[in-house]
Amino acid sequence: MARIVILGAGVSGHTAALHLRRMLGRSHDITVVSPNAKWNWIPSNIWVGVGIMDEKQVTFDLAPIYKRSKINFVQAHGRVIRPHGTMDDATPTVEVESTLADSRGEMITLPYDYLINATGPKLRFEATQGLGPDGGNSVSVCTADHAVHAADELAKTIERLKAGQKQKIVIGMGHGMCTCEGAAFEYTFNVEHEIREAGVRDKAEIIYLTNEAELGDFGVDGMMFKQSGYQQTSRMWTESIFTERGVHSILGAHVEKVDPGVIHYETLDGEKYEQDFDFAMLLPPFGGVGLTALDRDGSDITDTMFAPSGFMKVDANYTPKPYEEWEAADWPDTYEVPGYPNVFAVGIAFAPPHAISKPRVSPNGTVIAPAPPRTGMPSGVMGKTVAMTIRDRIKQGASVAAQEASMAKMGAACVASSGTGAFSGSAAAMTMFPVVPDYQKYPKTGGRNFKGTRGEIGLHGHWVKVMLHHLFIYKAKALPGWQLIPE
Amino acid sequence: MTEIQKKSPVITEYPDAPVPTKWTKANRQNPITQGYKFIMMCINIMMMVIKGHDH
Ligand SMILES: Cc1cc2nc3c(=O)[nH]c(=O)nc-3n(C[C@H](O)[C@H](O)[C@H](O)COP(=O)(O)OP(=O)(O)OC[C@H]3O[C@@H](n4cnc5c(N)ncnc54)[C@H](O)[C@@H]3O)c2cc1C
Repeated sequence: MARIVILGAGVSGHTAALHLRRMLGRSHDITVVSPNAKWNWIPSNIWVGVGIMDEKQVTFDLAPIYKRSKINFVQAHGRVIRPHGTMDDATPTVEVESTLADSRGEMITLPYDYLINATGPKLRFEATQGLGPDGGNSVSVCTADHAVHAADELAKTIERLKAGQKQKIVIGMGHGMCTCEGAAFEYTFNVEHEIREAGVRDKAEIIYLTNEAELGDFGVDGMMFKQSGYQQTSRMWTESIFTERGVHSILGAHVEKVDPGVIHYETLDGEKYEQDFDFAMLLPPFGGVGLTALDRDGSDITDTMFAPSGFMKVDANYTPKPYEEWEAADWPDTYEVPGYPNVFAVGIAFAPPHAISKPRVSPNGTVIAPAPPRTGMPSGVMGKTVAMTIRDRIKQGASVAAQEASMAKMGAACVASSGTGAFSGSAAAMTMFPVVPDYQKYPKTGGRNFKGTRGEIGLHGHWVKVMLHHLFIYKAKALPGWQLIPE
Repeated sequence: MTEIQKKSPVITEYPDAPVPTKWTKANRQNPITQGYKFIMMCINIMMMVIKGHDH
C-alpha cells in the first residue's frame, strides 16, 4: 500500500487527489491536508467582489466530497517536511498543524511514500504597508471572504455616487512584484460595468494601477493576435477596451504604502507619487506558504528544497541569466523536486525559473515587473500530470520516467466577464498558447502559436466564463462523469 | 530619483487604440455570431487542454 499526502486542496491539489483516487485502487491511501474546510473556485471571486454572486455560489465543504471519494481529509496547515525521516525512523513524514476548532494548534505527523506540495500562494499583504483588508486600507478579492468585504465597500461607493459625490476608484497591483494582472483587469471591467448599470458612470474615475510597463503585458510579456487579417498586440487590444470603457491607468508602478485614501507609489523612472482614492482593490504579491524541510538529525535543509521566495524548487533551470537568454526549456516539465523523486510541487507552489515579462528596475533599484502567473488551467493540468506520474511509479516501479506538462507547451485562458444576463453580459477573452512564449519556435508571432492565441470581445466570452464556473464546480464536487471535464 | 511628490501620472487617453465601429459593437452582442464564436472558443480551449502539449 502506498501513502500519498497532498498539501493543499485548491485547483492543483484537489485535481491531483481526485485523479489519484480514480486511478489507484482502494488499497492505496490518499490524504489531503488543507487549513480550510471549504473549496473555493477563486476565478469567480471576481463576481462575488461586485455583489453579483454570493460566497455560497463559489465555495463548498470539502469533507463530504472526500468522504464519498474515500480520500482522508486533515484540516491543517502543512508545516515541516522530513524527506529522510528522523534518526529513529527513515520513513519520510510531513508534520501538520490542526486548524479544527477543537484541536487547533495540535501537531500531527503523516508518513508518506509520495508527497505533493500544492499549497498555492501566501498572500503577502505585509510586503506593502497599509495594504489589504485586515488592518489595511484597501480591499482584495483573493479569497471569498475578502471578495464579500470588497462587494460591501463597492456598494457604499456606488451609494455615494448615487448621492452625487464624485468617487475615485483604483484597482490593480499592491506591489511592484505582483502577479495575477488578469484578475485585476477582470475586476476593473466588472466594477466599471456595475457603476454604468447603476447610472452613475459619469461621476466615477476608474484607474487601473499596475506594475506592467505597458497595458496588455499581463505578466506574460504581452501577446500578438491575428484579427481580421492583421497582427494586433495585446497592448492595442487592452488600450482599445480601456478607451471604450473610459478607464484610466497608471503604468510601471510599485506601491510603497497605502494610507487611508492615499496610495504612495514609485514608477519605473524612479519618481514618487501619491494617488488619492475612495475605493481601492489592490492585489498582494505572492510568496510560498513557509514550509520548512528538516534532515534526519533535525538540521534545516529548507534551502535545498525551496527557493528564497518560499516556492519549492522543481526540475526547472534556475541558473540566473539575462532576459535575452531566457528559454522555454528553462520551465519545468515534471514538477519533481531534484533529489526527491517522490516529492512534487504543482500550481503556484513551484518556484518558476524566472519571470516571463521583461524584468525592469527603477533607478532607485526597485524591481517593478510582473511575476509569472500560474493560472487555473495549467495548475489543474500539473495536478493531473503528477497524479499520473505517481500512478505509474506505484504500478510499474519507482524508476519509471515522469509524465510531462510544461507551461511552455500548455495553453491558458483568461476571460474577463461582466454582467449576469444571458444576453446583456460581455467579456474580454484571451487565450494564449503556450503560456510561456517560445521565441525560438515562434519567432514571428511573439513566441506563441497564432492558432491558440486570441483576444476577443463579446457575449460569447461571457457564456464561456459562466459555463466554466458551473463545469469546474461540478468537477470539483466529483459528481458523476467529473473526469470527462478537462482541467 | 527624488522624494518630491508630484501629480500622479494618470494616463487618460490611448492615442494608438483602435476604436470599434458601431457594427463591431452590435456584432459583439448578436446571439447568432456570438453563438458561432462561442463554439469556436470552446473548441480552441478544448484543443489546448486536451492536447496539453504543443507538439
Ligand atoms: C482573484 C483571482 C482571480 C483569478 N482568476 C483566474 C481566472 O479567471 N482564470 C484562471 O485560470 N486563473 C485565475 N486565477 C488564478 C487561479 O486561481 C490560480 O491559478 C489557482 O487557484 C492556482 O491553484 P493552486 O492549486 O496552485 O493554488 P490554490 O487554488 O490557491 O490552492 C492552494 C491550497 O493550499 C491550501 N494551503 C495553503 N497553505 C497551506 C499549508 N501550509 N498546508 C496545506 N495546505 C495549504 C489552501 O488552503 C488551498 O486549499 C485567479 C486568481 C485570483 C486571486
